[in-house]
Amino acid sequence: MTLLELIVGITVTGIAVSAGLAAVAALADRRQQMEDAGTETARGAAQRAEIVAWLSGARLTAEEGGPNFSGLDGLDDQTPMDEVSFLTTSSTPLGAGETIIRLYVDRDTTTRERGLVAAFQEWPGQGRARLQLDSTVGGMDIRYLSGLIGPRGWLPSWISSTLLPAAAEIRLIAKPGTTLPPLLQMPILIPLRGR
Amino acid sequence: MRRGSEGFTILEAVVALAIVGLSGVAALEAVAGEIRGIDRAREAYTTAALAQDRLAAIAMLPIENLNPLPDSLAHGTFAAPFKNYRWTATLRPLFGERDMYDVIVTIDGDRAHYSVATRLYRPGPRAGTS
Repeated sequence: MTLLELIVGITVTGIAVSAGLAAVAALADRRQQMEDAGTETARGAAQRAEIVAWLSGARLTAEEGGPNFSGLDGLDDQTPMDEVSFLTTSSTPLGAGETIIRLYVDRDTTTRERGLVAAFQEWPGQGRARLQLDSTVGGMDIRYLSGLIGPRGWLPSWISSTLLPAAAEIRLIAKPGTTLPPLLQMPILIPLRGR
Repeated sequence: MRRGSEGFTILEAVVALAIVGLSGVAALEAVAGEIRGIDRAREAYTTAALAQDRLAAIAMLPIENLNPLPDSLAHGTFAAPFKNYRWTATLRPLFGERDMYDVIVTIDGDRAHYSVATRLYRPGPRAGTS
């Protein structure tokens, strides 16, 4: 092999190896992007499904001192800060029994949870748990559909121990400087057992 | 290169390079296939959630507005960030079954197509009841 042949061989091999490494690097970057996007989408889908399942199982109780369906309309410096509390028959982290769920945006710096949080309390029972659903949530706007008082329409709050609304719609708002997973940017619509 | 001398023949070198090249292409194709799989899974999550949203919107319609479906529920395009996704929904009374409806929601995206069918039970007002 002459020196010229050696140089040509090394050059060709170098070009081929560089092209191959560039392709591998581009694919690795793309794979990471897709994996991140996929994880965000799966997270959003799971959280939507959880919230829908909990609220779909909302029910009222005839028992004295039983929990209300309580949807409160709140505002904090122009940011909707609603919260809702209800008794559900759906399965929760506490198990398959009846549970009171409070869905709210946690701004308390002394607690471990941040953003959208669900607090669970066994009913009847003493078991309690809290679950951070999404730390990027900075506000929540909930409205309730009902035709009980006049024509069917959306109401900003709902508190009753005897009646459920026909549906609830939850809009989540991202904290400044953050972005919600795409599936949490879309309002969550939940048909309930009321009218 | 002559037989018996040290080194490779040009044919041996070409075959070796071809094997290395094919292995590289196969490895890259495997990674690309994995990326396509992740993308398909993401699309599936998205379209399933969008279909569930449309089913919820149909389920909360009052009985008098159920059949036929209003245009705003029968078809449309989702708001941002899902502007590339469209839906069509059909609702038909189930033959031979009172108060039962067949509901089909189809979601179409640039690279996705998802259809979900379910049945809805919506009892109407009965004679003699208010």
